[in-house]
Amino acid sequence: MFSVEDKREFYAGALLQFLVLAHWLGAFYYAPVDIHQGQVYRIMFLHVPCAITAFASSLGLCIFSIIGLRRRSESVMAWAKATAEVGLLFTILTLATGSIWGRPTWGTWWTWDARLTTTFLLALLYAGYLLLHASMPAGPGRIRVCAVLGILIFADVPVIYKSVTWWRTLHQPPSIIREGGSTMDPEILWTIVVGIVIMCLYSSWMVRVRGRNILLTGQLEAASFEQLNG
Amino acid sequence: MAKKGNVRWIVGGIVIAGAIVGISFLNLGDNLIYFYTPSEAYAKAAELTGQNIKVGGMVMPGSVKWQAEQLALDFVMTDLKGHEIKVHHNGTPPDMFKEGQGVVAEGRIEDGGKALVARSLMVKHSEEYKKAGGNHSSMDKELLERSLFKGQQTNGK
Repeated sequence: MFSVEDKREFYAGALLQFLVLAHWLGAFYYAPVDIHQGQVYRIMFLHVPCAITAFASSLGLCIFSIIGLRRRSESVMAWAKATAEVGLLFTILTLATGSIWGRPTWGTWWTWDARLTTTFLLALLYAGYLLLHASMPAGPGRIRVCAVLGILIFADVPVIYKSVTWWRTLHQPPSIIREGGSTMDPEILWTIVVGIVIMCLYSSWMVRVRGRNILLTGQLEAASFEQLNG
Repeated sequence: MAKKGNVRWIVGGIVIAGAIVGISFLNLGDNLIYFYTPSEAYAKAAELTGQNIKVGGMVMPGSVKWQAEQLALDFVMTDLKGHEIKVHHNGTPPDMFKEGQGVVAEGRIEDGGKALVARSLMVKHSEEYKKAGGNHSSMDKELLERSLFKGQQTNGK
């Protein structure tokens, strides 16, 4: 019933789920209360890893798109699509957790400052990519158009990252990587760094499962087409 | 088939609209101002009067007057360099609002930039995260100041 690869994927997924839950325990019980924000700051341990994962997905999409464009490969583009789906999911999670965090601390669910606007743009670009992909028939035309858009989307990521440095925003500037060292106490910094690593691994696993799924769907469709016309 | 063509146009439209938003955002560069500093509000008071704008600064210690029965909040916003704006707001302040905190008020500027009737009030906090009783001194105020009044010389006239 299950291939060796299926089993490996299942156990890897179970282990990563366990790591995510273990990290949440750390976020609640290991990380100390923040003197400025109190308990509410703990949503940062979900918000920041989601944001970094959304950025990393965009880099993955860009790399898959470049390879897919050079090789004109439908299967590489399947991986690109899987990455875009995961990227959209984590961008939406970033916007949602940020909104929930912003209400008690800033006093608003949403505001059009540079950081929030450029992140919203990333969600639109991912959604646009998936809509474009869904609306075109498979073939060299779709590979070309989707790959170009997939490469372009990555241009938004440095803008998001630098938005809080370039412009005056409501969103606070970077805390982890900055001139003069981190502005986080070591326990908080470690909890967030570990969270970022786990979330990146977890999202890679999601891309792998989804990518294989897309490839299998394609194979099934091709097989049933042959059967019908054979 | 006609339906498929429509979808493609809609999708193309969304993507192009997104790109336009993105590019116009990039081109605005230094001109993109989410909120004015108090000194900019002073300098541009004549052209900004009566308009709905955002001004950000620090809540001056000892200036906060909160009348809970009337839901009336009065305080002085400062850039710590002598530019002060009296802010009036009808409504409860955000949880993190306190003296010495960063604040962005949206509303009408009056009295040559020296008074603001705020429609909404937002807190701008620093990027510092610290545990109680840690051995590192807090840089909260310094960080806030840097972030609040960023690029003031180049943007202010």
